[in-house]
Amino acid sequence: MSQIAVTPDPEITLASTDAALGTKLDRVKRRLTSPWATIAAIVIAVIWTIPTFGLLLSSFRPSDQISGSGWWTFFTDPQLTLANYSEVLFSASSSSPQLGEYFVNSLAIAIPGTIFPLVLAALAAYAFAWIKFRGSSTLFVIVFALQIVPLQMALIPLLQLFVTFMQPFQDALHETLPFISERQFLPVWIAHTIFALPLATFLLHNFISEIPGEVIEAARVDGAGHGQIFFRIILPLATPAIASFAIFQFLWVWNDLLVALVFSSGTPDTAPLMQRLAELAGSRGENWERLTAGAFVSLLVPLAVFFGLQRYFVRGLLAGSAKG
Amino acid sequence: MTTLDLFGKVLQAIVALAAFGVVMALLLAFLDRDDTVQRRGFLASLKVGLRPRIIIAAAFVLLAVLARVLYGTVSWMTQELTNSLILIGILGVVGVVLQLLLDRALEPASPAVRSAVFRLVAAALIAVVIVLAPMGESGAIPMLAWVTPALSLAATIAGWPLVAALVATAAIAFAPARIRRSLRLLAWIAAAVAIVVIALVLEGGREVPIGVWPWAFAAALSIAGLLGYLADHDEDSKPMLVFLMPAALLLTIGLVYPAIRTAILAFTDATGTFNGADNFVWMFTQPEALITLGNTIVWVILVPLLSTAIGLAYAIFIDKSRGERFFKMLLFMPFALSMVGASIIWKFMYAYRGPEQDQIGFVNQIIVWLGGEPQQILQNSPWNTLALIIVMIWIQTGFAMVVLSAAIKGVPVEQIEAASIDGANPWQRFSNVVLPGIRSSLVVVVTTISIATLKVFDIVRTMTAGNFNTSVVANEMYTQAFRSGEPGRGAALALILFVMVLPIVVYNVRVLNQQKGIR
Repeated sequence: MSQIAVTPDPEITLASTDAALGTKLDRVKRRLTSPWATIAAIVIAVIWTIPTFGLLLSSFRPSDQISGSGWWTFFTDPQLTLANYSEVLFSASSSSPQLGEYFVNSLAIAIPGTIFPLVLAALAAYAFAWIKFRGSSTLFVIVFALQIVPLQMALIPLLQLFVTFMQPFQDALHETLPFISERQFLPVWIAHTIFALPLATFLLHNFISEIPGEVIEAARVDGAGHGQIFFRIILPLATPAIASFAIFQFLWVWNDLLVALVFSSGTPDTAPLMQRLAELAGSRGENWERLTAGAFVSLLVPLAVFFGLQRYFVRGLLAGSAKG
Repeated sequence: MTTLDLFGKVLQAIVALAAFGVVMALLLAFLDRDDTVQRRGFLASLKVGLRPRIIIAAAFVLLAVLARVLYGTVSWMTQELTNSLILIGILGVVGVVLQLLLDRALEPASPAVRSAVFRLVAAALIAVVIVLAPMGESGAIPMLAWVTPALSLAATIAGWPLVAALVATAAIAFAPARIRRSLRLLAWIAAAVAIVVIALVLEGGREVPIGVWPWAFAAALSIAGLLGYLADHDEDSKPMLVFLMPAALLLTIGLVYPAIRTAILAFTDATGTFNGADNFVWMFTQPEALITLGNTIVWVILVPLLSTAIGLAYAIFIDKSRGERFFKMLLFMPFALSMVGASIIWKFMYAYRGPEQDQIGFVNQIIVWLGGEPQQILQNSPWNTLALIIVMIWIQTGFAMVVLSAAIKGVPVEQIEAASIDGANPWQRFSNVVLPGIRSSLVVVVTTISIATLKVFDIVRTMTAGNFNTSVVANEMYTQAFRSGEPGRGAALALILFVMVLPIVVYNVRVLNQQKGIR
């Protein structure tokens, strides 16, 4: 892999990329440990990689081989095929997992499920950081403290509210527009938005409150209102923080199973990929040619995010390590 | 999946995002209204702010025209739908024009008059909804036939107190500033109390229970009133209402109220009647429930400990080595994957074939290579719990490694250098210099992983569904509440989860605050 760096690369860490510090690190390039440590590290790395590698390799093997022999026999008898993927994604037969549809659902859930909480949290964070009002700090602490509530505690009552108040509207919409199912994404979006708000508000507040006050003061003197300040100054300046958290939230929603199980219908109308996969793993536990390919379809997006946006991802992670 | 289905899904997302964007933009535009326009007569003032209104009105006209054009072209555009859309278009345009006229007519008026008029208009709109809802329910208006009895009842219960509160606060606008804030807060809280009281009174003579949503509404109204009270303190505070209200209402209805409700639910049985501490007695006496609790404790001890230890060791081993970044990526990748995906990966590792067959699971193959019998790893209690725990460790170690590695890089190089000049061996350097330097990060890592472990659900659900004595609290909570029809027991388990998470989060918050104080 071309990314192997010759010099220590602090890319993945929060360590300062400051050049002066870099040379100093080089100068005192003194290891804490011995060559044995390197061997131990390699062993750990191999153990950690084998499971994923085995699944990836299996997903490309012909289905009779997957269930007949271990993936390590591939090295003596190499055969590869894409049939498993076309089967799980596009096959229309009722016995196939038809993951293509669920993939669309996952996207339809995860994109608004990321944007809604981010915007609302950014608004709230701005109010806490830059609008002076009585009780501001108390309210902020309360919002932050809401992270204590495990989302398991909110599931049952929230579901009852949705059934009473939103289902009639959803039914009415389905009645008038038959191609929109009466089971819609709205409950899932709202649930994800609510559960993300406390942490998102806290993290964005930390960042937004560190924007220099002079900038905002200057804008105010020039006659900008709060709306303009928010759109023209806060949002552009807070983009790195927002991007980090957006990636984090997107992955969280994409990978979520519990909220999906409770608030989505469990049918192809709204159920996301994860729910379908969990179902497959339960009901067809030995159908490995479908499970392996299906699992990798679901891992595709997180892996792309992970490798493509690693820097933002790690930053969001380090800031968000308090998610309760 | 037909193309039309796909269209329906994409349409939902696009409409929702667009509507959300429009509402947010309108809210913020409302904030930035220019109140210092020179008044050159009523007609001239009409021109101010004309453009956004023309755009909105045009959107309504477009909607109506589109409905008319599509009618007869596509099958789903029924006559009823066309009529509704044209009606919505006309009403929208009328609304925009009326709003403009009202806004301009009120321009010279004092803020108190303006506030009062807007409140009265809102009250009138709600009154219309209250009147229309029962008519829709009874079928008098075909377009509103979808209104359920529950909705119509809710409109009555919540609507009248809301109207009363709006009218009252409109009147209070003319009260002296000194008492205005308090009076308004009182009005909102009175409305909140009224909703609950009306609901309780109506509940008495009904067969179908109203449910407990009036409490949620009352909580939301109180929060709205409280925010208004805080915002009304001075002119500078007012904009915070627009910024905070959406988040505050969502959190109240979606998190605060449900949490309290669940805590109460924990003391009721399957039919919703109060049964004291029965659910907790069940939890601490039934063998299955006890196994669940025991498993959770094993999880929460082993996972944070082992993940942190392995992550820390690995972070130190590869620190400043060649290809550090690549090594980190290998260990960190499982963290980005979903727990469902990870579970399938490991289910495949644990896969079992009879001794006479070729193994397809790597773990069993190793056992065979070492001369053992292949095992049903996921079914043999108690070792199957350990097998699930390994999956969680596999996921969390990368997280621990990345955070701790960043912390290690933050330890001043001079200190390590000084220690080695003083003759400290690698272990002493580690335990005396590095370890104290990364203490706070260690705390964050251990507590974060502990919380994640307490809530672990996906792994157990996907790999064993809690069978074979592997269930944990979060999984059992889901099973009891949504599969066995025992919401009381589910709620009790959720409450236990809360109690277990509570000290960890509180501790975490305190550490974070201390760090903030140091910075």
